Amino acid sequence: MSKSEKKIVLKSLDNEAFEVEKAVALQSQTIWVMCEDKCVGNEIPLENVTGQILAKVIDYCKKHAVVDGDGDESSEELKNWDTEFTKNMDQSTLFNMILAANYLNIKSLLNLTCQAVADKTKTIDEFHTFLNIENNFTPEEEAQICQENLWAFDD
Amino acid sequence: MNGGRRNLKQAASMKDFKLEQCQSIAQIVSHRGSNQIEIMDAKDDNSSLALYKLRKRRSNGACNFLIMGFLFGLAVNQQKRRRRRIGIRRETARDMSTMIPLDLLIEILIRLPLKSLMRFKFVSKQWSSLISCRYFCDRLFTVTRQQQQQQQQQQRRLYMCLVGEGGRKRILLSISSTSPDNTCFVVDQDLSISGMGGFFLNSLHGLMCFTVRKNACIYNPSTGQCLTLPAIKSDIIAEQGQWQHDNKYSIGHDPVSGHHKIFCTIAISSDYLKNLKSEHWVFVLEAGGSWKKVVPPENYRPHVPFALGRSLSGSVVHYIGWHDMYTCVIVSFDITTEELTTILVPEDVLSSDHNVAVPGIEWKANLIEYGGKIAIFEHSYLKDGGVATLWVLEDVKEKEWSNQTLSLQPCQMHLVQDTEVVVKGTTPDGKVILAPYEMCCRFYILCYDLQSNDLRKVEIKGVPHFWFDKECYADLRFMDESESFIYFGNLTTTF
Repeated sequence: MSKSEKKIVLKSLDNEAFEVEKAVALQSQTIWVMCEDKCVGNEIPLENVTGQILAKVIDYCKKHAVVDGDGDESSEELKNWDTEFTKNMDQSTLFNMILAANYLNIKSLLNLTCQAVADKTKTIDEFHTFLNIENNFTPEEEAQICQENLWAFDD
Repeated sequence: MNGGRRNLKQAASMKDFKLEQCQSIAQIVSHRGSNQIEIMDAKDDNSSLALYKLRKRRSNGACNFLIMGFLFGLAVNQQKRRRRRIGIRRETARDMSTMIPLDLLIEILIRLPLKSLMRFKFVSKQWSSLISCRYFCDRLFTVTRQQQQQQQQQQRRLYMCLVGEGGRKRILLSISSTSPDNTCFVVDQDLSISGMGGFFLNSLHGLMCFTVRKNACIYNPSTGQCLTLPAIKSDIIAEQGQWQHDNKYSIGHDPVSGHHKIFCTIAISSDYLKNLKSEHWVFVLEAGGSWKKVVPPENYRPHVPFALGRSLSGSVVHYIGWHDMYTCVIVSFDITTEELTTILVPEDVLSSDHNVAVPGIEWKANLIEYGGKIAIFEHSYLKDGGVATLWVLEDVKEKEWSNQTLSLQPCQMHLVQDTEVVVKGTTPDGKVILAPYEMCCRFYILCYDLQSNDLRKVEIKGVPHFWFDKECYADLRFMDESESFIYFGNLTTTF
């Protein structure tokens, strides 16, 4: 493999280009399939991901590629890094990360981000705000469900 | 509780987004890849199967999503569907710049704690049906299992059924562990609001099954779904001097068809099990299910289920029955083939080395599962001699039994010296649960580890005082939280 083949360019929705090691990019199943099929050149356009999000995804992939490569870093450390990674993201970024992880098909990242959203969102209100859903239960139905699920409201 | 009401109120007051009047509940039938799901309208029977394609849109930073648009799609009836969907797309293209496809939303939801998830049922009817649908439950089950395997811990919940005053008083308690070594449990909820609890509590895959009056009740404690099966129109009728024993229902699972089935034994006899008659019925837990009579084998002899006995559930249901006061059998019902077989319990198991005159009255033993095999844990002399015997059915075909005597460690004798105990099944890790025969205040159970011959006391706090010091029937059952999410949603509508 020549040197140029080891690098790959990922181009975001807003035309930001990222040059990364192939090993890093190939954690994405989507990119892996593209490369395997030889349907792309060295530059891969990712039309669903913005540059800001893509940068974060690449950060994640880089970290995980390194760890997979050499066994010095323990899984414990990696876990901590993951926690830190999602800790300071706001909801909007997290949701976009989920979409990106889904589109790029990076299972571990999807797991991580979904879990992060779940951990941060624990009340109905929080989801409510995002989803704009109206409560369409009648008072009787609500009372019945409430009774059936009493334990869930036992703070 | 208060927090929940508050949330509800807030939820009810949010009316930014209004659904049209033609709302209905829809059911997700299957999940096809990452951006397509198949749904079925609950109102329109099977005729309105429709495929919904979820289109992904470019994301540009803002945080809204199209899930609402999707749920909108569910809400309209078939004729209006196509027209409305076009409208929705326009609207969402304008208002919501990012969308979370339904499959990703599910991925988020299943990672929530079960408690939060149950709260989300209140969000709307659509969410309520989404959270109870089979795809969702299956996915939840898989992910929770994976997580638990990673963390190597099982969250275990204990359920206790109490029945008193001849079945008029019933209660089902949900009990959780308060200490890491599971030596202390506290009742944290009384689930008996809508008449939960009954005789012969058994469970499988998170579904509980018990007898209420003459009917079978199936209850899913995590989703709160409860189902009372229709009464059986039995062919045997008690004549004068005869009486009907409590119907025994056991839940089993058919791995071939994937269905859960309920197996029932009805028995009638006069005193001392004379003039015994019995028959068996089976019910497939699916939409439109009904009771079907089990064809008895050629050499069938009627039997009565052991009143204190427990059944072992799985793909084969086992329980102890009595032909008469001196003859005891292990009854096995294969859930898949619906065949009934009985294995005679040898006489030496009934009397052991001891002198038990009438086994039907005096025998203290129960069926347990031991290392994947059926076994009888006999404890007639546990209180006086600290001795129990374990009889293991080594070979079902050859009817070979092995036995081993277990002597309690002297320092643990005090745990059984003062009280009669009864076997209440086993813990998930194979310890035998012994409970005092009579309910007393400071209620406790004993967990007997047969491998290491170690008897441990487990305190159970918070049992209502009403139940202490009186004659009542109690059943205990451990359940892993991960398993308690099996779906049986649209069954309730079929009767």
